[in-house]
Amino acid sequence: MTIDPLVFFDLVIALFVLAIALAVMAVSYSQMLKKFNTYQEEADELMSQVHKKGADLLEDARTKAGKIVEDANKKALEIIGESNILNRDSKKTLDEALETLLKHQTSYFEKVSQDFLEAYKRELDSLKQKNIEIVKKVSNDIEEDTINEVKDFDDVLQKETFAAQKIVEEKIEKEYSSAQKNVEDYKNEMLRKAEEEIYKILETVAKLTLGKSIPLAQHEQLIIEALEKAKKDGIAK
Amino acid sequence: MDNTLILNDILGYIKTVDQLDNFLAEIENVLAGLFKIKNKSIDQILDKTAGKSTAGTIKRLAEQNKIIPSDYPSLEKILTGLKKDLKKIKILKISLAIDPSQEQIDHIFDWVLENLGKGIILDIDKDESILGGAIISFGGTYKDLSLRRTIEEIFQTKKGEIMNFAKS
Repeated sequence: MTIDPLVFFDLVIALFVLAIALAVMAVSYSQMLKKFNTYQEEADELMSQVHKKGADLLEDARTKAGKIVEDANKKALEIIGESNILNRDSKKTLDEALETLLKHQTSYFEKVSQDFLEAYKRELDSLKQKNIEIVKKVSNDIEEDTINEVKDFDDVLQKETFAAQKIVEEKIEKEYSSAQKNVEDYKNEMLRKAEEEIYKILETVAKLTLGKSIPLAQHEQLIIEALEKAKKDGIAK
Repeated sequence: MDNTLILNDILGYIKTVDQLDNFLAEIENVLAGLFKIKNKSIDQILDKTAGKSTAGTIKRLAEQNKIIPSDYPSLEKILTGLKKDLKKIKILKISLAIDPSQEQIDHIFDWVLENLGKGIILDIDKDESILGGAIISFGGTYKDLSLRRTIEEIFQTKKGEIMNFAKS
């Protein structure tokens, strides 16, 4: 297989152009890397400076704060000392005032209690007296009322008793009459039944006696008589 | 064939239902004999199968109808007719307080024959509770003519008198 010279020439030219472009790109990349390294170093420098400044500021602030706290403690100790002295004085004064007040109040309350007790006793006696009088009066009233009530009740009871007695008497009389009538009816009924029973017995006895006392010849006669009567009554029609 | 005379003769000695039943039973026996027994005369068969009285009656019947000793069918026909006639006999039912003797039955039968006519026989039963007299049923009519009934009537109608008598 053979390649056309024209095609071959074109290929060579194309490869050449491609080689040049590749070389240009390599140079450009190298320069860009150098620039980047420079920027990186500058940035690192700036960062270290920032860190150092921050640490200094923090140290300064810590120192100032310690001093302030120390001053405050001192001041506080001073105030506490002063207030203790003041407290002792106030307490003493207060105790004295309280003792005076207590004495005064005690005597006052003793007096008031005594007065109240006496007034209470007086009122109690008066009330007691009044109660005794009321009770006496009530007792008398109750006695009087009770006597009257009992008397009324006695009267009513007497009247009611008489009325009830009369009603009971009437009722007893009525019941007695009714019972007497019932007894009479029952007696008559029993007599009637007894009479009927006796009559039945009589009939039975008559039958038995007559039945057994008839001789055979008489039987035959009775039979013939029965036949005669039957004929007469028209049995043969 | 006119068997009236023989029938009258038979009815002369059959007075009760029991006797009629016995007579009919004997006729049945003779009829059965006519069917079973061969090569015997009618007289011989009658002697074997019926009582003396019944055999005599049937023999007279056969003679009257001029039946020869070997003519079984003619006798059978006459006996069957007789059975029919006997079943038509009227019955007078009578309840008594006693068991009647044969003489008493005869007296009662004679009275019936004389007063009510021929062709009637008696059906007698005993019921002591009637005390006496008789309860009679005939031709659909019932009559209680017992002593019990009479006493009951007296006790119903004469109550006052009886009680007064009993109290005195």
